[in-house]
Amino acid sequence: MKVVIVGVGNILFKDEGIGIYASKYLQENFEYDDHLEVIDGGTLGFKLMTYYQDYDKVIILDTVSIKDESGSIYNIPSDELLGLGSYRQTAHEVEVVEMLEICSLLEKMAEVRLIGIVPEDIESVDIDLTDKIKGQFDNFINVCVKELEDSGCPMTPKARTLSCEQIIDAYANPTMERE
Amino acid sequence: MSEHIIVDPVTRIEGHLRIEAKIDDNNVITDAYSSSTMFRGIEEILKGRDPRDCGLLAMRICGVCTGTHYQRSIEAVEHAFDITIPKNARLVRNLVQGALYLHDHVVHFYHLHGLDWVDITKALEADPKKAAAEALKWAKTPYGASEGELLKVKERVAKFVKQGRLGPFAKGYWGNKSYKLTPEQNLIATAHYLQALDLQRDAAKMMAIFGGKMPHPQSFVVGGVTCVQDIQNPSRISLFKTLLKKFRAFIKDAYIPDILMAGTEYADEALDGTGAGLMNFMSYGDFRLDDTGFYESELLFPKGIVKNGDLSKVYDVDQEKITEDVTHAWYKGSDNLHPFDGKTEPEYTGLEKKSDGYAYLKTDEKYSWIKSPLYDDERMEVGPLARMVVGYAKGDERITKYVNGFLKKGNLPAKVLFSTVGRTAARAIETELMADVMLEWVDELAANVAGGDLSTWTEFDFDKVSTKAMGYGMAEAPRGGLGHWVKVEDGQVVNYQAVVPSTWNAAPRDYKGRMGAYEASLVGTKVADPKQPLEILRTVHSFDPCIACAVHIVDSKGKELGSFKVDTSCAV
Repeated sequence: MKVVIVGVGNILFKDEGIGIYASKYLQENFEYDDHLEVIDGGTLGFKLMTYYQDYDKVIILDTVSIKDESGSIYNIPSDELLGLGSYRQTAHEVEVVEMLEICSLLEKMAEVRLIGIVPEDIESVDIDLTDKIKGQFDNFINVCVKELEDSGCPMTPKARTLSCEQIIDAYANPTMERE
Repeated sequence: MSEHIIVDPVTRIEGHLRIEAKIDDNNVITDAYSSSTMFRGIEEILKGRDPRDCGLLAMRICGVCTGTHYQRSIEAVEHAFDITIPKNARLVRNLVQGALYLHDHVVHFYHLHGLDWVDITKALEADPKKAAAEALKWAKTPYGASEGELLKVKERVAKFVKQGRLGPFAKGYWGNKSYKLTPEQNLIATAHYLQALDLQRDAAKMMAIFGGKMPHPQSFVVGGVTCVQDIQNPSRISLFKTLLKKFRAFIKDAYIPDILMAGTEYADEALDGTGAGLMNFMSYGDFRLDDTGFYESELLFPKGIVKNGDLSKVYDVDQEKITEDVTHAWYKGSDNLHPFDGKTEPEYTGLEKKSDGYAYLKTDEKYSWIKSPLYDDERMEVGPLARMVVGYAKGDERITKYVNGFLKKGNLPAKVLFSTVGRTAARAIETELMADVMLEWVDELAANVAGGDLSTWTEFDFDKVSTKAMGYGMAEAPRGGLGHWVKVEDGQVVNYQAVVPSTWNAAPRDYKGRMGAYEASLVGTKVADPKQPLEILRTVHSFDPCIACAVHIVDSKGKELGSFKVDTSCAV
């Protein structure tokens, strides 16, 4: 089974970056078999379609808007997400859920799970996480690890590990290759 | 008595677009207002950084045009440092950006806009044999539209309907009177909708060949590109070409014929100019065809401005004449300033709850997060239609050939371009042109490399060029003119601004009360059923709106999901 983890979100808006940081954390701190890929999806929009088509299972890491305390973590199967899209009634660009709906017409589509966390602040322009979400980061990672284990993806922690802070710092201060 | 239609109420902050329209007794739109969010704050994030790294953060502004922002940012810095990139680098950038155009435009038409024209439920009434004959009317060798293939598509859709798995189709305005295609035509378009879904992967692969890891391209740097190994590898170049040819076949035998078919069925509204809007078109110009350097090279899409739909005159574009007005935007300030001098101090004044219980935009005051950009004190539309109109008016040989070719096939006069149908057709015409020219570019790249030129990067003395410099990257994203401005002192960014295409199109009224492009394009349109604002969606979607360059949260919309909550209280 081909599995892909796609971190989704915008690192420029504080907690919105959690999916990106978490996917990077998983990529950096574990060894996997060949059939697992980890992608920093950013604010992918319709380019998500390709993952739904090319993999057997897609695990999306993102923020979710649910009436619950910030920091609450959800692991939602795709069936529950279908129907939440509003493409037909809105004029805006499409995203995770809308793409899921469009792709549900394909003969073959990946099993999709959304691991989401209720954010505290997604308005401030700041490449960082709030303390509340940082405090839940390890739990968020544990939920992802469990989901991967349940998906039959064995993983081994690497000896040298990067912390959540180090990952955020790398995103906040990226450097381009110099010739 | 006039009625008020609201499309997509803004309930949260994330970049959604809201349209409010007023209609008269005959259901004709008399007034329209566009309200949305705009990305703000890139200036603060980039200040103090090494200008060579800006692209890595600038590309996070938007998820769809990631690569475009990345390239724009790099080119703003190259312009500031007066760097001319090598031929190989120019061709690679053109190919990656060209692949983005093909991908964007095809997915836009079929998956984001097509169902504004195509009633998919009617496809179930189609006779596949008749449909196959219909497809032959619009293409000599129709793509995936034989009787057998169409029958399969019909059965597949029927199966989905039966299983209740209609996904995006579940909420359509099916049966609306303003759908005009026959059941057979609807079936053909539905087949192409499904085929495009499969094929779009090839366009994504094309971008990755020279762009590096997707979705965030990494192979462009200030001074050139880093994918020197890929361009030296004949199998990479030939893979690119194979994928391009396959995608091009779909464009020529499905996309263009479908647009001709729809354009003919909807010709009445194209001819009467429904959705024309501002009639002022601006193109910054893009895709350099030679190595003379920034803003001097010959361009695939020429730069220029056409005013009031007058094709006999083209005005030049001078970036200094761009200003932004905040009269109707939720910011402080009154003077119209160049984006570079602009201030972004929010002054949110909210919506107004009326007696019917709904909150409405305060349209006499401020009502959008988007500033109103002006060019020389005039409103402008940007995008594929603007590029085609400017090129056509300038007599650009290539653009004129493709535009005339399309019009001739459909037996349509040039004025049909000035309409919602025309805007959608212009995107298709541009896609065909791009697919053809990209084939030339791949060959040019291969020949140049075979000739021994392996240069992909222009050397520059960073310390010397970055003491005091200013530049801009102004070019065309798939959705229209995109500009990045950068000012560098002592090796650091001191000011940075970006004006994205959708700000031109989605902006609110300006200080003179003149409408933005979306707004102007809606006025005068008749809505068949005010409860189903299909015509509004059709016109707004024809611009390919992309305002969601803010946050991308999954909204549960109040659905009960408690059983999926993960208990982390006792987690290790």
